[in-house]
Amino acid sequence: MTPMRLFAASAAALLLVLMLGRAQGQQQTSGVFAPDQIRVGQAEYLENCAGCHGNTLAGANDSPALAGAGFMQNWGNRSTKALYQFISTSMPVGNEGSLSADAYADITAFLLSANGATPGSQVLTGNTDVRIASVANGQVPADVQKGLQTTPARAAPRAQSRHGLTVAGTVANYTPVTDAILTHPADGDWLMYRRNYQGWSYSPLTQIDARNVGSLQLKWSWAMNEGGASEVTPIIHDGVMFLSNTSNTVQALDAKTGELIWENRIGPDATVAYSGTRSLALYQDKVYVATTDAKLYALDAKTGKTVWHVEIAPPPKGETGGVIVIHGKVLVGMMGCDNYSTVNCHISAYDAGTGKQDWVFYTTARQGTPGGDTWNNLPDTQRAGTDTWIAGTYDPDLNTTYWGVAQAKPWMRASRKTYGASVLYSNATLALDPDTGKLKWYYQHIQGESLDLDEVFERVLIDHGAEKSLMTIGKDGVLWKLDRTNGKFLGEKETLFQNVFSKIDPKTGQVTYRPDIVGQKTNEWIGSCPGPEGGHDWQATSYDQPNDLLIIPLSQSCVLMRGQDVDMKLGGGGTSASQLFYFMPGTHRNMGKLVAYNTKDMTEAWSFQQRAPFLSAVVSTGGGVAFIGDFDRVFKAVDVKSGKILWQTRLGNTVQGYPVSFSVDGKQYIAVTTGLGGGSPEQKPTTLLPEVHRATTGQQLYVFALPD
Amino acid sequence: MMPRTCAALLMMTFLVAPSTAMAQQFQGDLDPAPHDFSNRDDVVGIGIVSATLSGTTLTITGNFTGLSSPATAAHLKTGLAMGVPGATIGELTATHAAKGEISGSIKLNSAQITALRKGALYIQLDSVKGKDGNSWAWLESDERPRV
Repeated sequence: MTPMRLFAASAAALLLVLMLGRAQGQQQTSGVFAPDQIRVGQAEYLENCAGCHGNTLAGANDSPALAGAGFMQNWGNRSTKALYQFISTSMPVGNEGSLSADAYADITAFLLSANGATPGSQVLTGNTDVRIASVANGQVPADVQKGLQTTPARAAPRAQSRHGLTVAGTVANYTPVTDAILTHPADGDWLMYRRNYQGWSYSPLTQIDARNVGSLQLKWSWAMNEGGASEVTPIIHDGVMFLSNTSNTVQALDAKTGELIWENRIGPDATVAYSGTRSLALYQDKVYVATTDAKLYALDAKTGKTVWHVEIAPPPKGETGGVIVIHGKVLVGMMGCDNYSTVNCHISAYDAGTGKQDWVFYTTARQGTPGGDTWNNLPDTQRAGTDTWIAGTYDPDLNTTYWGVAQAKPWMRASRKTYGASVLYSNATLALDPDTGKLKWYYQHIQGESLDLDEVFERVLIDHGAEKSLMTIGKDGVLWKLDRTNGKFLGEKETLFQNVFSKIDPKTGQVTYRPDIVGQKTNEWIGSCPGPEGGHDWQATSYDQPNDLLIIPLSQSCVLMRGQDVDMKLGGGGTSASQLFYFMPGTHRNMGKLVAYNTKDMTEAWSFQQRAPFLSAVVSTGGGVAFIGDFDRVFKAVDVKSGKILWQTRLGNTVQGYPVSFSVDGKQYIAVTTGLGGGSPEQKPTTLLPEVHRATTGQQLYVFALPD
Repeated sequence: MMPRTCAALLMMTFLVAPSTAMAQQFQGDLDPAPHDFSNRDDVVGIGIVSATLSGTTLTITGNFTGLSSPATAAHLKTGLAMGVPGATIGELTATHAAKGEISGSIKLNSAQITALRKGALYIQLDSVKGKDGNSWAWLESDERPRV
């Protein structure tokens, strides 16, 4: 035996001893994979899978747990061959089937090992066919529980590892953004997430109208960071565009020409599961960025240099919703609250000048606080979810900010053991005093939500004479109207087919779940139309104020959802449910729907359906034209009054993000991004629309205008 | 008494007629149900089904095309609501090919007729590659506006 072979044999034997030691006391059949496959498979897992499923294999968002009780419930009675086939045909998401057969086999072996299986002398291949529960018991090894060391997403270019101010420059003629400017923005600016405090996504610009929109031309384009999930809103002030890329990179560009002025690569680099921020915000001389690792940065708007930064919450929390600035305070939500933790999700406010924390409002009602008795007596460490992943809106007259709160975690009440409890403040609208964080009122749209149907999305503030309303729509597709002075229910409308609620009380809005949803058990499939794609998702509405129309992107798909038992300990929990997707009945396989409602009486003005779902928000304009883009790369303009398609063009990849309109030197522009990554809105059409073929890269900004 | 008897008979005629004499029509799209990405290229094909309820007998006809493997069976099933899968209540005939027809007549009980009228009955077509359900078609009344 050569020294090298002797070394290899010794190393393999040592690894085998270590693995056997790890599994001491366990009673499974051993030997369907080789020891070395664990090491190689772990490396492949970290490279290709950990970005979504996590470095403890606990899963997050739409990515299920791959170790422990949940994995065994899903896969215990299925075969290693089925697991290999599933992984090799559907992973990694967005680049399915791209690894070698050996790599998929090694990952399969690693997953078995991470669930207590012990190695043997044979090498696992795609043809190895044994029942998983006969070799694995769900006992997660200590090193996996502790967390494997993660690596950046494979799609992220190496250059992104350089952080800090990577391009120096200075914005000329920058005007500080005051409270008055935020309240009454210039027509050509887009200063915050939905353009105005009321969340309208309406630009008053009129140059592009129904008669001339057909002659729109591409004026400039800009390649954005790859990797991660890009769902961004370009921000424009005084002819400068502030653009957030994935990997927490912020750029200032000349909005007329696309010339880069400065760039700050804050980091950390994107991994697959990380979304980029949905929106930056401007105030005075600073740009505010809430990063995916739950930090808040203030950059000098003229130079891009970091002025201050603070931690919103410790890892592994995150933030993607963006921020809103009110009275010199930067308000920011939080996400990443899937797993059981000592830190509950909250909304917090920071002094815009210094970063000093002003207040915190916990969106998870904790023990001993108002609403704290709505979690079936669970300890605070087992109260997960209630993320706020969409920035709030604000009524200056009422001095009230409005936020939507997401569902509790795990998704299904049987998994999280809250059963009939309402679990405040999940799926509620919150009305907060922006100066103190004090709760003025709340309205919970769904008590004890149980199917990953968030009501977290934009709160749109609309006035009809003396009526001051708030309208919002969630994944269930129910459009809600509340009195925003007191939270009183004013009305609801089901915008598409739903089978989740057997009744919605017309006086109170109280929903009654279908009986099998109330009586759900873990490890049982429950049907849900719509499913977690929505209905309505983060692709935001536009309120076209002159026509009093709320234009709403909708998606039409259903799921079967099966909740899992979870480990009720720190780090446990997670979303913890499997999903299977199917078309919504009666839709003729049209996943996309765009609908406009008259907001005064909540009657439908127009609608149309199409095969591909819409993956961008809507922006409407003073010219009577609204813009939206879809999963199949089509960006289109529709007549606000009729819904008639006036113009469309094909872009490089899925039109994903928040289109905006702005003007420079008297010329109106439309800016829109293409993007990849994300959860349900990407996953469902990827499965149900096999004819749509997308490139694995293509995060890009496009800027259109009329001919010069 | 005579006029009262006549009125009662007339009323009974109106009440009973819809469920006995007048046939009710239902239809649905046969949509592929791949369920996850791993089999989206195997579980394909579309179709349409029609159903007529005459008395308590539901007669089903339909056709399908574009399957990636031969159809193996077709079933009438019922769920708790439209869009919620459930149990089989009867077997249908399906052409054992990638393109073909579905047919069959099944006698329904009153609970199944109620389920049919609320949209909870559906047809499942199985295939070699989609053995647990290649396609689903929920039966919707012709009288109800479609989504």
